[in-house]
Amino acid sequence: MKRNSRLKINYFILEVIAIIAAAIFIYPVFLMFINSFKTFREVIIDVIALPQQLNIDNYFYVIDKMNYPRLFVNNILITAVGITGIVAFSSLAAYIIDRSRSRFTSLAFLFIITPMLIPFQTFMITLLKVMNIINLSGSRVGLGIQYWGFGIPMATFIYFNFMKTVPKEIDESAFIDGATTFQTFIYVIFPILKPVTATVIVLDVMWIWNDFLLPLLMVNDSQKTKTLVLAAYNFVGQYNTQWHYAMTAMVLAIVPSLIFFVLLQKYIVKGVVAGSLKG
Amino acid sequence: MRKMVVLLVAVMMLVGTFNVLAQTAEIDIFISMPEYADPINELIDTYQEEVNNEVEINYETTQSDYPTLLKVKLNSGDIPDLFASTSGKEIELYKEYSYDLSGEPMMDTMLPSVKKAMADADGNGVYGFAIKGNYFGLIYNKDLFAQAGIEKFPETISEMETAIEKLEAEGIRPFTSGFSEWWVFKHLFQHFLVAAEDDVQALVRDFENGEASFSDYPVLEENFFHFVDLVVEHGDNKILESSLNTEISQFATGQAAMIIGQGPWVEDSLIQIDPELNIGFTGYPVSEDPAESQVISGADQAVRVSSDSEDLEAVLDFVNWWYTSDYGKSWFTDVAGVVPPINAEIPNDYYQIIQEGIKAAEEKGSAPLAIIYSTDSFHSAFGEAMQSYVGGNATKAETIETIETKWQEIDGSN
Repeated sequence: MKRNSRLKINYFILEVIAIIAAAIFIYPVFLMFINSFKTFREVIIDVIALPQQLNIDNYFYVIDKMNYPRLFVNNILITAVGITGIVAFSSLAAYIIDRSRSRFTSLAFLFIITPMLIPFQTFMITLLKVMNIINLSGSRVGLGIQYWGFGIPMATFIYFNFMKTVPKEIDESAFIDGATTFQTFIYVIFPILKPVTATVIVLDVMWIWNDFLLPLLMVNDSQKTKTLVLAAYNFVGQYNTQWHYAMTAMVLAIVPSLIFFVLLQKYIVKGVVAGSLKG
Repeated sequence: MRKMVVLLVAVMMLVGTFNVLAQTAEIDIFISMPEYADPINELIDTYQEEVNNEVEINYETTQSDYPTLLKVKLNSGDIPDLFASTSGKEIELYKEYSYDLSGEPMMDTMLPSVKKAMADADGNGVYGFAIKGNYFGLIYNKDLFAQAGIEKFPETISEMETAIEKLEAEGIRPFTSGFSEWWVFKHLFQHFLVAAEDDVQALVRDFENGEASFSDYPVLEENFFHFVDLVVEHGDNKILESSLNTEISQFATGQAAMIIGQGPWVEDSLIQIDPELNIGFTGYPVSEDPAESQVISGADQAVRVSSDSEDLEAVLDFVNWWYTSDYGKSWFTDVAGVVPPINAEIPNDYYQIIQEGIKAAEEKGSAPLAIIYSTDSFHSAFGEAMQSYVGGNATKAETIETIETKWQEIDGSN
């Protein structure tokens, strides 16, 4: 009885700490949200005050100004191309690397995952140069394809760790039924990987959707290819920033990815746990 | 499988040819200052409608990371036809990529002060043009000064001290400073720098080479620091937390009578908060000589024409049209709402700060823009040094020493 109540107190303290931590993390987002309903005057005079009235004029202005529907489509296209490639290539790679273990595959694995350690800024110039030559810069599909290169290392790593826990007997029974390697992967293995796929998709959607520097480098040239986050930054000027519009634009830019995250986050936990239990 | 590969290669080659075939002139613009995106888009549309609908103009803008991005583009060979830098010292930095505009028709309308800001280190050539001119000075609230019974704005430091007393007697806080922004310090400091020596470019060069020091110039060693002390003593409560936004809100709501380190660019924000605001604009009192209290005018930004542009003719046609056509000339005031960098009429109901700036320059002359002769790398170090001084972490002597060393280290040739 005594021990039980002590445990309860401990849990209570932990919960309080968790709530405080959550509040600290959510506060800037909260500020962004409330300031998107204020006028410029209200933002400047008191940034932490609640809006005097729920004013949605900012939203109408910003949606029209940044050409929201068009940029939304751009974001969807870039993210979809990126995610499709990352999932397809990494899951296949992880499958083959795990199933046909040899010196060559472990070397290949090493080559695939080491780029995670290389900072983006170090090869930024070369990247732009190469992308200009092969015509992948200034295009939405081109940018999506570039994300394959940036996303595959991490995704392969996650897939590989999970793949180790999938028994080889499953492949063997598929082979006995006459499936080819590719068929085995598509019809048997890939469905088993679903929780990991969900994890990879959620993590990468959050990253690609909200990315700034790479799109700035590649697709900032024209309204036709721009992303939402880039357009939001156009309210930030040399000296002056139109804070009320910038905040509104940021809300509009990140909310889709937040909704996506909330809807899929239960899979993320599953995927991480599934991968980590048996190493 | 092989069929697919062949198909893929064929498609890629087709795309390649298609790109080669599209041979219309193309102008790629990549400049900072997104706050002028709307006016510039309007300018481009007008050009395409009225002058040349064959040319394709891609306009790209960003403020954050602009210098990094520009360097990446230049280094990867993806050089924009029009790009931006600051004027003055930075002209030299991108000179090899920039076309010398001195033989172009746009020289007829460009103001001499703008041309000077676009010259290289030896004072030759015009390696850029300006989207806007600018004024720098002290912004004050005319109504609050009238309320305190101050009829003439203080032109000397001792007059300023009297004015501060009168304002405080009325319960008005004299200053709001924006001292958390590093660039506020450079805007303020240049007024003292131009008072120190007539040829300010040479003076800056002396500082860079270690041949000049603050102790040679009482206006820098004494007056500048004295003025900063006055602002600290009679300014915002949390002085190092005061930003541009603080300045705008304090000034526009009538809680402070003067703004430090700002110019025409804040007027839109001020008027959004209080449309009735009665704004005055003049030079800083820098000494006991009223004649030295001048506004500063000039162009602090430069737009450069790439000398390697594939469609150089088309680019030059466009920028010349910008500076010499009727629409282009009126664009600066009617569309962009900036200080025109050309000889142009200012409408009577124009921005108060710009009108006051012009008036002050006509009455007392204007001083040259000194900040353009140093890089922003130095200026941010300068701002940090001044922030430690303002925060009480460094003495005046230490601050001066830091500034003098940084000037040599960052901007000096060694």
